[in-house]
Amino acid sequence: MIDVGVQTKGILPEMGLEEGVAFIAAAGFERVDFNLDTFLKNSDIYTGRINSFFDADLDVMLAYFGEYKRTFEAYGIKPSQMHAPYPIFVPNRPDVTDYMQKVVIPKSIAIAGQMEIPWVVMHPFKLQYKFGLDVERAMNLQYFQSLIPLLKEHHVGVCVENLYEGVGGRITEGTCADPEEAIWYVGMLNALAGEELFGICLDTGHMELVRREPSEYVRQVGSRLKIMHLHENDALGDLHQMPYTFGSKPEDGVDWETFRTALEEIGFDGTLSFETFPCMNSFPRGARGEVLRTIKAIGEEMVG
Amino acid sequence: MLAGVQYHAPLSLEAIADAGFSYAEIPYEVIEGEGLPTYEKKEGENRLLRVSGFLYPLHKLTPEKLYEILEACKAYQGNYIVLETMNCEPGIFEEVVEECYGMIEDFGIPIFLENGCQGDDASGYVHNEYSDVTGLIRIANFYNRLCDRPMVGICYNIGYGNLLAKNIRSQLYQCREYLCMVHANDNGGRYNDKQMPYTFTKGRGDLVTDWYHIIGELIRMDFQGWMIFDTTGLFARCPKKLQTSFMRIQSALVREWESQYTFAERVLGKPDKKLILFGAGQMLVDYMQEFGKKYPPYFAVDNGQARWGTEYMGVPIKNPKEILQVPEEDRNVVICCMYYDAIGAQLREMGVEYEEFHDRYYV
Repeated sequence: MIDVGVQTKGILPEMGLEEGVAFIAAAGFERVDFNLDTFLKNSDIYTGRINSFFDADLDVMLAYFGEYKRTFEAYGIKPSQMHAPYPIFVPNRPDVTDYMQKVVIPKSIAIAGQMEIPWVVMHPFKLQYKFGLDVERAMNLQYFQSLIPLLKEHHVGVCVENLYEGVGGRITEGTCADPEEAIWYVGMLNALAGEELFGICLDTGHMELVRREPSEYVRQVGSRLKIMHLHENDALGDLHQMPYTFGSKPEDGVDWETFRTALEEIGFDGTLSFETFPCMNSFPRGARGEVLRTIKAIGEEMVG
Repeated sequence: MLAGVQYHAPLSLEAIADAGFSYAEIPYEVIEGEGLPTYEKKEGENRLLRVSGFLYPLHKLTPEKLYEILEACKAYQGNYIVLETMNCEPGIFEEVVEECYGMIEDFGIPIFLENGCQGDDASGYVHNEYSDVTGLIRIANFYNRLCDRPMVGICYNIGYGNLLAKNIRSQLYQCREYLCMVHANDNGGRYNDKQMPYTFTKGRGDLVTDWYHIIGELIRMDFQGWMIFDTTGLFARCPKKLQTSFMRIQSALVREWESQYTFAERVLGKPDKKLILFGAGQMLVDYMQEFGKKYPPYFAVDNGQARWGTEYMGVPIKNPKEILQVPEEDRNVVICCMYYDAIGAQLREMGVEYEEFHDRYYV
């Protein structure tokens, strides 16, 4: 059975734990994408402004997120996926890269394990435009392979996500934008792990930006598809808005009907998770509850 | 404000009513075609879905057609006729109204002239005769002089204004005396998407359209006319099953805007209570500029210890704990800081009830 979920970004921790979880539950969600990346923002990582959140002892962090787990459970919510802080590799900042790879990511995996979150999204390193594809692949493979013992220990899997890059003032394809590449990563890593520890996270908005149809991607990656980031944009910017809110004709934007058919074809039985946090900022606060309920309704309609 | 939604297939009238709207604006071409679809009321439903008015493209208007629409508007108990000026050559309105102003006055049904532009999604959009409100005002003014009472007003379409990169807030301000209707829809400035307000953003939720200032301007002018959502692009795209859900967001927007209309009297106008503002940063400056004279705060509080014991424009700034020194029945606490969620959580923890001031509508 396919579930419907929404990311916690824009809601947690801003609204307060109890209030935020209640807000999500009131919209009818039973699954969430837990945004651990809100505790160490990507904009700060890129600029080397690393806060002290992940400096805390693991036991202290597990106790802190244990409260999250209990609150989710109290409201009948089970996190289906987690977004780890990113990027994991920061060019020209070996100190930050080292901290991300040796401190932040291992602790993220432990937190996911404790919260019983089966899949963690990690952005592969984006190096192909600077160092070439071979270097990018070798370094990604090496790093993700190094995580295998930890993943086994905590019973957590990693999903690589289709990414885009900004080159020459425009958006271009990034790592795993080509489904063949995502398949290659997952195949190699699972072979190295000897079990299915790696899967694919499909980001529909990123697909739109590089002029690909998510349904085609779904058909190609098949059962390797484990989790999703569902959202829509104007095909120009990574806007993370609700499906159907761009364009004016049935054929505009993402073809959600064909997408649903593709999911049926591959027998997808995970969570349709929406990555639509800017809606929490762009709509007036008084309309946010209705926006979240509508996102749930969109998911239910897709489930059929 | 009188709120409604423009009907256009495949949108159902039931979805409009289910979301709590009482008015539907009808393109007259629907009447000319298969007629208005039957609206099926649910069992036990008391609410009436009424025709707010009719919509018709000005470039197709003739005196005979205007008579026909006025008759239909009267029959359906509509309140207005709005004339669309998209891709319309100049002079048509003048020709028709000059011939028909007596008839318009006899029917007592006002005509709203909408701003428009020239072009399409493929070639882009440029100004036409009806794009600037100064031109619309000139036309309205001329014909209102012919009648004993004003019969021509302005409908401002926010989406069309956006396509022409207008300062919509200023356009509304300029035509405030003639503004009878707003057509609310959104786009990214390139295509005539007719999507729901607040959906076009840049970055991580920064609005493309200046919605807060637009609504703020309407509040300032105490606009009491029609606010009609013409979001046909959204309903052309979304599955039928989702129509009511999306319509409910629009209904929530109306409630939000109406709550901002009454903010001053509802929240600040409590002379028997001590007004305490939470936040002593930029938003306090904004508050004092907008409401400081009429509704001066008793004091403000702030989490920044460095501000405790200081004053801004005569307002003492204190430790948030000081809120509890004012008896519950005597205090009126209003968050005056962009971190509404965090401060709201802090106040709930303290057992303090609160309201929120949103300076985005005013500054």
